[in-house]
Amino acid sequence: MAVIDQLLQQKFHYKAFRPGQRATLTMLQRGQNVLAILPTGAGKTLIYQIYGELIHRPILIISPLLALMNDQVERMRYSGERRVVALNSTLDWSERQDVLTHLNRYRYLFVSPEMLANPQILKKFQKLLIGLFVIDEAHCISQWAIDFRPDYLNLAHVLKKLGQPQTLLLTATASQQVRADLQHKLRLPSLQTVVESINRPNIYLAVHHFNNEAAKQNYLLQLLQKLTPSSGIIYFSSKKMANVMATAINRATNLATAAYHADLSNPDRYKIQQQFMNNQLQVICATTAFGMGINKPDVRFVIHYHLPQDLPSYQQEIGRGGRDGLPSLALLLYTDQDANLARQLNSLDQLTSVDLKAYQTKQLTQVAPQKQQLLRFYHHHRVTMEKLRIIFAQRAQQKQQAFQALLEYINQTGCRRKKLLASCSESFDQHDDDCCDNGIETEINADLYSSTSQPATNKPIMDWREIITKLF
Amino acid sequence: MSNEITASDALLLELLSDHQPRRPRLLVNLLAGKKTVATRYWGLRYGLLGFAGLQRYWGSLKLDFSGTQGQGLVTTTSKNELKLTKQGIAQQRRLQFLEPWQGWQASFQSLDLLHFKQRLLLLIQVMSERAHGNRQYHPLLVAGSDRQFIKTYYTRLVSPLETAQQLKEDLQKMLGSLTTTAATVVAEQLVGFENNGATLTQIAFNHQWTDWEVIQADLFGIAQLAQQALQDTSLTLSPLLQGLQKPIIDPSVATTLQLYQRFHSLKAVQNKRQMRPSTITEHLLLAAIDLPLAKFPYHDFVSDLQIREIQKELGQQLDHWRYEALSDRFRSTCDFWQFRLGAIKLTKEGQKVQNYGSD
Ligand SMILES: [Zn+2]
Repeated sequence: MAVIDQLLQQKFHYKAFRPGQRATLTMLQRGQNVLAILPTGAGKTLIYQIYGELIHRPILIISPLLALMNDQVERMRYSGERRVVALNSTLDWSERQDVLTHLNRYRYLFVSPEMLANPQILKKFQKLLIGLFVIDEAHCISQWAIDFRPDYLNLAHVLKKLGQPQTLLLTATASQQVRADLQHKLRLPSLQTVVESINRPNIYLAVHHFNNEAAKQNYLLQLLQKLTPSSGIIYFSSKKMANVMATAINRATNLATAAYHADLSNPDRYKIQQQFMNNQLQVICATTAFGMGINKPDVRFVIHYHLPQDLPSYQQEIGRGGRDGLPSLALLLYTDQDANLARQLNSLDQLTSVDLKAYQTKQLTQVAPQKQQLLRFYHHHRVTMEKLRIIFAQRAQQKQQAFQALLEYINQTGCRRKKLLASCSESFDQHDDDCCDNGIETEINADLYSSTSQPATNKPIMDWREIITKLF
Repeated sequence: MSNEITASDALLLELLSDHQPRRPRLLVNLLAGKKTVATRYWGLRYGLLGFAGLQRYWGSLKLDFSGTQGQGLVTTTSKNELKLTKQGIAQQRRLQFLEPWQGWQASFQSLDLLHFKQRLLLLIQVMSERAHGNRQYHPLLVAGSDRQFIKTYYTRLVSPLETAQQLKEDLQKMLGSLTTTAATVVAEQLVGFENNGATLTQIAFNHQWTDWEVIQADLFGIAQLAQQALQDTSLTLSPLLQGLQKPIIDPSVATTLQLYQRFHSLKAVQNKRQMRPSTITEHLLLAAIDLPLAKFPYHDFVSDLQIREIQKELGQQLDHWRYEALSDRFRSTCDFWQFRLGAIKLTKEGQKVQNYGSD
């Protein structure tokens, strides 16, 4: 038996590799740099965990979202890995110093990109004999990706400073254009690519159109009544609406529901995650902007109440459904107002004359926060006003195209899966009745999606004395 | 739906009065815990210093100035200040159905309840899992420093099982002294063996209480537990307060005042502190606002005669006092900061101001 199979079974207690894991590990073992494009839920963490066991050297993992990073560290600790730490802004000063002076203690170091932008911290890492440099959500490096992060562009410079360690790029979504851009930006020698189909055949795709918000809400509540009992996620683009609908669902259905977004305190986030995992909660009303570290296999439906950002994001978000391989539903609810709202949000990203003036006078504090980050980056790299205009015009055009593709998916007259996969440069031609609504609005067969492995357990209200007694 | 009083509406009503117009910006800054002289001075004038810094404890609960005006509960004056209407005052009274624990403000101002609560939740979880012999569980997400604190606390325990038993008895006793609502709200938030706890939103929904009721009950409950832990050092929760006591006045402000009391000269303090004169006088104003009346040397800076003079020129309504409205003759003998100090003194004499901490 090969070493990696032994590790998989004996240390990590899995029977077999999932698609893409073995191929990626084999290439890493040959010392190659690898770009692995694997669907969400494909077990990307296991790849570098096994590699860490093989090479006995520290593994650096760059991750863009704080919440996701902390969740990953938490999961590794839970499974018994003690040599893991997250170096990010949630650590206070003394904790950070403690980690930095004992970097050798750790096998798996999760780091946010802005930490590596700090020269002192980078120096500490230079002294470390890094075994593997992992860039999670690697598509963020590309300006062609909608969630492009300027601090990710710095990673090319970081890699150079660290002496070009072996590198693994992980992503669930990368069109041909993004792939080419990654190669161009990072200039990794002999970069090998592993691509697994991101298609999730057990997820049924459907879109429903409504004339107005009220009709949409009514339909949603009626559908949820039929989906009882079942686990699901409903995505919103606003925290307020997520709160409002969570309350409405609690009142109108038997599905215990909670809102889940950036306003939650850490303990509350924890409680909701655990309740959802234990089927005490059936439905989570989440915002798409907030990372969710939950890996629940039996999520039966993912409903979008508002529009996703673009098709690759949609693919990723619906990928939280049906990880157990059983039939699941991906439903998008649409009114024309949603498109207007999305257009307005997109227009906020465009450069205004105020922004340009701020850029010229270096008074960036007046600019909206996300834009500020971009402008600071370009300023730092001495990009001229003229170039800046062109960059932003290109971005606006990209966004426009991505949005157009999303609208085409919604108004699609044929197979929706074909359209969806095309956005990630994957072709598809095997439509059948289990694939999608084929562009024709049909009633959802709720029976298919209304079972979970465990029944809902709604605890009766206990007296506070009883709660304390049961705790100990 | 629109006529429902949300928790932010209720909070705003709680912070407003029907006779004293109040500035929205100041209320926001006060809740955020801003330490500027203007924020602290108006916090004193409004009698709301006990609310200072609550924003951090409450997290997402933010002031919302739109809802209550639409419902006719609040009006805006010509100077963009807010006042309760007749219906507003009635609604405010209706919202005070909970039996409040009067000591919460003093407790909140002298102890870091946010971190106390996080430590409390994590400790109970760890001890609960230990009591049931479970080693594999996800620890609650809390601030790194609190996680570290509980780790150290736990590893120093000689007999964790005995401590768990003691903790249970302490909790029964401590919660037993709260109102049933407060005890329920605190207990239902706890996490441990086969118990994922509930969020405040969930507690409100399950009991059909309002969010505001539950938010207050949580604050009263946690504040009371902290106060008990402070007074009775034999409690298992007592060590959790380590490093969480807040000084009544900012250490830098205290240094300035001490130096003044040693040298009795602003010039000397200025030289020692290497600070601008305006910073020194700001420090003194902040000290005056936060300290009990008798503990600040008002007479060194503004005499009773001067204060009477100001009252003669500007009238009895302190909220309307403007330094610029004083006569030139008077202004040449009294700086702005002395004028402000006079107003602080009068306020403290007039209101029975609660002083937090030692008196
Ligand atoms: Zn199809």
